[in-house]
Amino acid sequence: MSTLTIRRLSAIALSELAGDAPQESFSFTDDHRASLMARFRATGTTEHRKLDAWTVESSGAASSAFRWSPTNARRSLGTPALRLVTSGRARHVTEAVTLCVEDHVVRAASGRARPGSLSYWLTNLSDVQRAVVIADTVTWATGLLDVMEPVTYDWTMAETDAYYDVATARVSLRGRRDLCITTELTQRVILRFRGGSPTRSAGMGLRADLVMDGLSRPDGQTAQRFIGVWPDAGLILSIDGNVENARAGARSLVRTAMMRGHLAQHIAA
Amino acid sequence: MSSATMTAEPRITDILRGNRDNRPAANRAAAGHYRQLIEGALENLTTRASTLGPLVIRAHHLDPVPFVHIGPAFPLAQLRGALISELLRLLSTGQSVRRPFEDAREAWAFSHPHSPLHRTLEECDADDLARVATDVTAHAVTLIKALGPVNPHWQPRTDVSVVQHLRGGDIVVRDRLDLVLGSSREAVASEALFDVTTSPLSSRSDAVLRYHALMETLRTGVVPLRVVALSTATGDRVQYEVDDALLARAVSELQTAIITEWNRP
Repeated sequence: MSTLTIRRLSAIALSELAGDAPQESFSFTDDHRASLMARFRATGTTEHRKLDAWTVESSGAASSAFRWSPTNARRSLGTPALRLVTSGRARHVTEAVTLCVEDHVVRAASGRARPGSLSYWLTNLSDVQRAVVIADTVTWATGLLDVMEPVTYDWTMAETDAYYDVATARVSLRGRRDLCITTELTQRVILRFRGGSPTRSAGMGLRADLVMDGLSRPDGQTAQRFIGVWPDAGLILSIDGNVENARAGARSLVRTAMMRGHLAQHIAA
Repeated sequence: MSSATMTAEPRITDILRGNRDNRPAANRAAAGHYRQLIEGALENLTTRASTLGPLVIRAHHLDPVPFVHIGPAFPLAQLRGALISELLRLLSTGQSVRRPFEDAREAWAFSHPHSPLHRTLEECDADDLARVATDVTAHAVTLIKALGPVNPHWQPRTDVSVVQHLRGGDIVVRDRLDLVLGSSREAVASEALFDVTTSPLSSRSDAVLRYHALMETLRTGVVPLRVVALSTATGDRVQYEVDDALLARAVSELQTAIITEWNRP
């Protein structure tokens, strides 16, 4: 069943959701990938489309050009900062975030950052602006740590997001994932932290993330459970990595690609 | 409700942390009870036109007097409040503030590029700007003097957003906490909330503190330790230990605010 579970946020609830996740999960085979490619190709546009859970949740609405801001930098900085804290390489979140910012600045100063990158953006900020970025990131990362530390299972921050390019269809997928819980019985339970409160289409976004995470893996295996955490609202939404959710997620991605295609044609006309 | 104290002596961070040995056990059972109380009072509300969208409640709705803009100085007072809150964010990360107005203005413009208050600032002539600058600087001096150092081990979070959906999403209750220290995951109550205001303290600031305590309780499921407010206008501060009496009063005030706004023509 493609049931969406809604719980109040607590360490107990998260531990339970991780602990009783199904042991089996759906795997994308080569046939599934070929079928998905055909459906994306059938959406009939040559426009390159970049899709993620947000575009699915907003029914393919056009987003404005990306620009770095304290809000969208906090996840990129907070994730490696939490890796430093959980591995004991930083004493606290503030130190970890400051180290990560300094690392970016050094990288840019040594010519290893491309224009438009986070490193490049951070380097061109004043001390005050950088302090705002640090404050925002510390708040995000501390909130995440506050939720996760009492969870009874092992968890690690995700190394990267899930990326998958659909061959010959000019569609790039990006699934966001913040951390992975591993339990004795289940292999992977993925968590995603979101701001604000879940919208009515949040379940669709989670299913899309589940699909993109599975597709990005060579073995095509989806996570046993995909959990969305909304700390601002104190809510958790979760879905299982079963065939129904994988099918629903794939359908919503194809539908969004179609809407994006129509939108691009409309703008061109 | 436990006692409130008004004093000008101890630093805010000392008040927020308090004596670690005197902290009560973390109350993880109350949040559900208070949520039920709030929802219970909303059951009999009349149906509202769906075209109106959800009713959004914020701290300023607790004021029994309808929220109105009072005179031409109002946007400048709002701007002053926003700049002081921004300064608190800088101070909480250990940033040294040498030019309070310029630093706060830069930080605020950076983090709120689309705020309507930008227009207020643009419309200021040289005299207005000089007046705002000295005003903000005076408030900043009070804040810096009163706050004390924020230890990063206390897990400071600034500008923390809280949002709760009630009555199946018909009502959205929102809040922003200026500064939160401590954690909700410890065995004893450890979270302390700080609110900075550029107005003098009043019964309304007490209601806002209770609102903050209730909202954080609903968000985390754990009752915070205490709430503290500082007026940078007078240097006065007020603190409350968060207990059942305080939260029950906050529930009642929130219910009143919701029902008033729901029935407002």
